[in-house]
Amino acid sequence: MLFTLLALACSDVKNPHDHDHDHDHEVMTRVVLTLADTNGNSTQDVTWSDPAGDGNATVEDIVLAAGETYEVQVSIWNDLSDPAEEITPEIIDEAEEHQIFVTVPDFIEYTILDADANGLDLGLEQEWSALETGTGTLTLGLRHMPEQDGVSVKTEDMDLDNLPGAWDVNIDFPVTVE
Amino acid sequence: MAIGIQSTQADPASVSTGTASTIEDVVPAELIERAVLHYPLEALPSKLHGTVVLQVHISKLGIVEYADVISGHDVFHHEAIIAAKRLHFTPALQENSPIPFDTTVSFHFSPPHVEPRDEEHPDHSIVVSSDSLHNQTAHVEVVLGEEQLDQERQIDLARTLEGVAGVEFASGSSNTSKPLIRGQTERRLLIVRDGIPHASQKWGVDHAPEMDIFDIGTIRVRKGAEAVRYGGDAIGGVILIESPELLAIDGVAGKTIVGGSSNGRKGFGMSRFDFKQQQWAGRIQGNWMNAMDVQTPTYILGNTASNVWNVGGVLQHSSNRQVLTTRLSHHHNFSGIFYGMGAESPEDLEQALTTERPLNADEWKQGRSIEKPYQDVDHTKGSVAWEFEPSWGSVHAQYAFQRNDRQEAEPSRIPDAEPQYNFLLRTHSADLYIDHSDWMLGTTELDIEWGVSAKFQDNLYAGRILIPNYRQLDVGAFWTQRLIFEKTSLSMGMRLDGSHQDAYMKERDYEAHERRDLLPDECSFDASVAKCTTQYSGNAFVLGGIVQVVPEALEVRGDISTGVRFPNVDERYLLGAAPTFPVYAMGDPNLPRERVRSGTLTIGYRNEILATEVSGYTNWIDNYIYFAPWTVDGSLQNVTLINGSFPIYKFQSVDAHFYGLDGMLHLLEDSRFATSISGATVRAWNRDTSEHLIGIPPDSVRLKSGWKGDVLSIQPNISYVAKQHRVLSNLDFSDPPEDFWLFNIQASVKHQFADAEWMLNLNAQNLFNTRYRRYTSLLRYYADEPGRDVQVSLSTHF
Repeated sequence: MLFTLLALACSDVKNPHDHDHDHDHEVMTRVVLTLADTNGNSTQDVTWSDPAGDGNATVEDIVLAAGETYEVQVSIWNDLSDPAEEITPEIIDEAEEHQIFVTVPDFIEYTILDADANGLDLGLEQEWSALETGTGTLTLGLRHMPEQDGVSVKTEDMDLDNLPGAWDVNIDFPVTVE
Repeated sequence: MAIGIQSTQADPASVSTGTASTIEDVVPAELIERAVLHYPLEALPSKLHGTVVLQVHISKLGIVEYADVISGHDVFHHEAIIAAKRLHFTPALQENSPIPFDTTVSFHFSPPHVEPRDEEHPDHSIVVSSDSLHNQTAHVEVVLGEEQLDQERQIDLARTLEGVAGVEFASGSSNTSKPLIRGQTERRLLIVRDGIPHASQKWGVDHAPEMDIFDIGTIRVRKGAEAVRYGGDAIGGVILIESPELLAIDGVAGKTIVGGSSNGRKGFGMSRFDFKQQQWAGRIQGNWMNAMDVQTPTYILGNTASNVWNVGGVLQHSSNRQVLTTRLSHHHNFSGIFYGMGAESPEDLEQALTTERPLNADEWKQGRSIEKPYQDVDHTKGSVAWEFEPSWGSVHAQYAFQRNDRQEAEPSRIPDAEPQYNFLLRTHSADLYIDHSDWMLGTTELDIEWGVSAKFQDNLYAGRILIPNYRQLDVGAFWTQRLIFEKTSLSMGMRLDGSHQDAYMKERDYEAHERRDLLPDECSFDASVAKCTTQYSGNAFVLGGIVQVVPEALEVRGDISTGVRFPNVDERYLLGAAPTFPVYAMGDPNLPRERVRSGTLTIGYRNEILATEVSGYTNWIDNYIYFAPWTVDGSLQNVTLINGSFPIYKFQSVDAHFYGLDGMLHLLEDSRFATSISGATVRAWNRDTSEHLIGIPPDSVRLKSGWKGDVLSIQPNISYVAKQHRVLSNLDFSDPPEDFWLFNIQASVKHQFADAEWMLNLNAQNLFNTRYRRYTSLLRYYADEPGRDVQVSLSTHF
């Protein structure tokens, strides 16, 4: 009986494939900013990517033209899923618990274009205006603010210095306005 | 019997005229030295009286060489044989020459007139008595009995042990905690339940040992390295938990407790049913505890509700010195993790640290619902034990299987998403130990105990990259012997251990380890799965002694020992963002074995007014494995993940030195109005850098005083925990919390009604609703500890 139990116990330890994070639909490894200038002259994708999710990230630069205005689409992906899975629709489905915050250098202005069902900013669609030339860092964060005790904590009067929830995404892009 | 319960009979009730090989002209052997007769614990519930008659064979030297039971109740056999072997006779003479001699002796057992010490006043851990020479350890051993547990029971094992000097607890969320003994964490402490080492996921901050605290008869806390007897996992101490004894006489009995408490509006109930019919005895028992969110003095700790239940059963068959016992139990714990601990990045933690009151605290409503984040834990254990008690000692063999199933869920966008962290630990263990007790070498008693053990364990993990699957086989063998002289005992022992670890990683995880140079040399690939194998071996030694400087009054105990602990798989291969703390965790595959060299010295003194015991200790731990911020050339290392920049915490080995003092003083302990003071202090240094180690409990002292009557007992107690000043501020997220005082009170009333004993208990903790934070608690970064809690329970034995 002991040996039978031992054999049963050993059966699947050697196969971590069935027991890993392939099926975790909430892991995020890649953020893509799709920038289209409002004149319709150009579109560019800028990517922040850490495909293994272990801190081995590659970050592309954002390069904008002074005086231009850009519509920005934010999309978020999970590359640990095979094939890669886009997470953005889940965020839209749970928009009342999410918001994207950006911190921009003073030579850029931004406007949030989209909103959740309560009329509060969502941030997956934005408009950026490159005011003048400069070099700096743009920080983009996705805050996940799940309900607590059935009460929504994403509210109009949130203290931006003391937000509820936690960062799902909090990344920096080098940005240059030429 | 480390706890001596002495019968009123201290010598044989009768010694009959014996027989010699030739009866004629024989001068019979005469009793010249009496023996202490112990009333067996297992007979206590029934208060059984009885006489055991034995045939003894006396050597030419007057020593009892062997003793066989002729008649008497089974429950008294073992103690009667032990007592018979301790008798000393004048040699029988024939023609003035000593000759072997056979005779019969009888012992009468009657229950002690007073309740046994460990049941009535379990704080009486000060062992200064003739019986202490028979202690299996020279360490301090503190015993908590069932009645005290009924009075002081907290929400988990670690908090229940808080009153023991030198024992602290480290808590994760508000409703989980794990014990610390003399600054040593759970990795170096072994919890042994009914002889079976508890196997669980020890490594997580929130991973409390899964224990049914209602089904406990005694808890023995042995402070000090017990590596020889229990292996490397016990180099910091051992907590021995025994279930209540089964019935010793035919019949049925039971116990019921119902109760509740104010903080969290906790309700709980337990019921136990025992039976014995001839050779069969058994028990079924179950309990349940449900609590709402817990409150601090000024706000609710959102999402700290919990739901815990246990069921179990025992079936035992006794026959002719053999006992076969099967046990089966299941523990379930579904608990919320405090909303305020949701910091997933250092920035979030910094926010939490700068606010005195958790964000959204005003929004939290007290309720019984448990939301994400939560932990959902099941622990199943089954065992079969065989005990055989021949005249020369005892043989114990057992097999146990444990299944520890742990799921941890973080907040998710998908409401019904599976928990992100899933751990399954399966453990098979087999032990055999043999006790050759009470061999007499002249007037010196020799006890020998030896044994072998094996443990096979596999761990399956499913979830975000964190730990690999693994399989591990541990084997060990030990030998201890104890020489008991008139006023002195001397013990020594040794142990050999070996371990084989196989860790399994899929290719992507393997590459993640490889990128950070976190792989050992011994890895191979098979079908895209990497297997990394490591083998360890080690040994342990102990030399200890007890000297009764003044019998029954002054006693000195001490030991020196060495031991080895092998690194766990998680300490070697952990990689990923920790689920309960905003750090990036890394193991080190090349961690060496920990080796401890320890020494303890304990002095116990007792007279009619006071009893005191003070213990000093020193533990030198080479390659002490330590989870701490990783610095390179003095610079703290960070990693940038998609949700922020995290400090890297890495398992590192340093040479450490722990030392300290703990002890207790009882005044008028046998009177109605008794007072006790206990305290503990521990210091821990990194010998490589001459810096303090972080996470070490601060100094503490506890005063307990009050009335202990046969019917009514009222015992207020005050505890003081100092601020921990011995820290490295650059290696912690926040300064240690301030010192604090807590005022508590325990009271109980006993009443005999309808042939049953009823006891009403009141246990009020943090009576003045003091706001405080505890240094060893993870909660201190986020919120205050729970406030006032008044627990009332009613228990009855029937």
